[in-house]
Amino acid sequence: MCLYEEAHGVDASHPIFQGPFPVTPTWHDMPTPAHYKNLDPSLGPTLRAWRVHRDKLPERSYVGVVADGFGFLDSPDAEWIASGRNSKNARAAALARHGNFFHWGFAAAPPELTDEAQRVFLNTLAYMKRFAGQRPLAIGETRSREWLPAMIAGDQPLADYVKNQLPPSWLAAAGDDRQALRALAAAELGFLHREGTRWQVDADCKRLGLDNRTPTALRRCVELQANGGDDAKAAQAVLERYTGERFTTAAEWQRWLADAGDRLFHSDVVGRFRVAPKDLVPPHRAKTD
Amino acid sequence: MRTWLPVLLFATVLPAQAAKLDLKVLYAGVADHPRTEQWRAFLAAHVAHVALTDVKAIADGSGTDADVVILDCPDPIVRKADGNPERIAVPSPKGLTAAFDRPTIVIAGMTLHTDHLQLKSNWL
Repeated sequence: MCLYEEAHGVDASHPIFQGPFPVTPTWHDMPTPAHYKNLDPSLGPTLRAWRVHRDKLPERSYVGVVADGFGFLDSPDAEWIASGRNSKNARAAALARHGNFFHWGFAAAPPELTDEAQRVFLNTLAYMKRFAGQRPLAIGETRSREWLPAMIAGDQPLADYVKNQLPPSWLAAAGDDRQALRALAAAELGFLHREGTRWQVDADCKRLGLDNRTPTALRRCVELQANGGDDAKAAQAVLERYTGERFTTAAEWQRWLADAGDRLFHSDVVGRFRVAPKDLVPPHRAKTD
Repeated sequence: MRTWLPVLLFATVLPAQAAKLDLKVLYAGVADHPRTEQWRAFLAAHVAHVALTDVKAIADGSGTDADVVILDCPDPIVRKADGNPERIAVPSPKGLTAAFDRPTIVIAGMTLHTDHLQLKSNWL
């Protein structure tokens, strides 16, 4: 229980702000909570915020809930719309969608919602109607690798729970040197693979230079497999590891990739690629400048 | 111009003054709690049809007549006599799994259930 009165990081281009009741959010500057900077030291002194509760929450009142925002967008069944002032971090999700489930983390009952928030809630009702039958695709309990750079971003001593998440090869090479760990994260994040309860560097991906989150890596593996030679065996292993398929020829892999097309996605939650169904309602993504 | 006029009118009125949304909403909360009545009154003012049910009764196959289902509960924090938290008691719709296919809005404390379903909308 950790979400308070106001949202920040709001994607106001999302349909729930567009209608049927258009909302132009009234913004204010919110002091950046000090603990946010533990995971993101680049944050400024204030965040642009949007009030959801009319009044400041009294002590011991019903506070809301945030979801883990790291990795939220790694599957096309999910939308991250806003965070809100909370006790976790700036990426935590206060408004978000996963499949046919919409996370409205704020605890306010209608009389406690601002007029703008009431409108957004009504818009959310209208928006969600289209997701009948659109079940979540990326289900699981694995946390995204996006946590790792955040956990080593600050200057505090590395806690044991952080060390337990980092790949052993990083700790062996860099120890507690955060700068060296950050360099390794920048170079090797795309090579990571979850084994049991921790992340490991996938030696095949590292050697072949394959970011195992991108469909491009799979296509490169098919090329390597077709070429034969020393890399073909590793490429076949990577294809099997990250797709769950067991094709043996390049032609079969090519056919599968062609059929999957742009429906192919990788999620750390499931630890490999999956193919989205053809009737998936495309997710909204915030426009970036 | 004639084409745009209704759109502009709709866009500039407040929800309370606008036509109701043509939606059937099933609000699943805690019976007889003041919060449930607050949500019912709000929804009844703004959507075409509202039905209420006990959130614990929601299960796969529920809400087939609804366009959207809302899962909600009052403050789940159970407090000790001194006011400090003792435990969290979220009503559990045990029959609701990740196979539930109705559009669903999960409010605040009910996130504990989507957390149990291992959705991305978990309880951080």
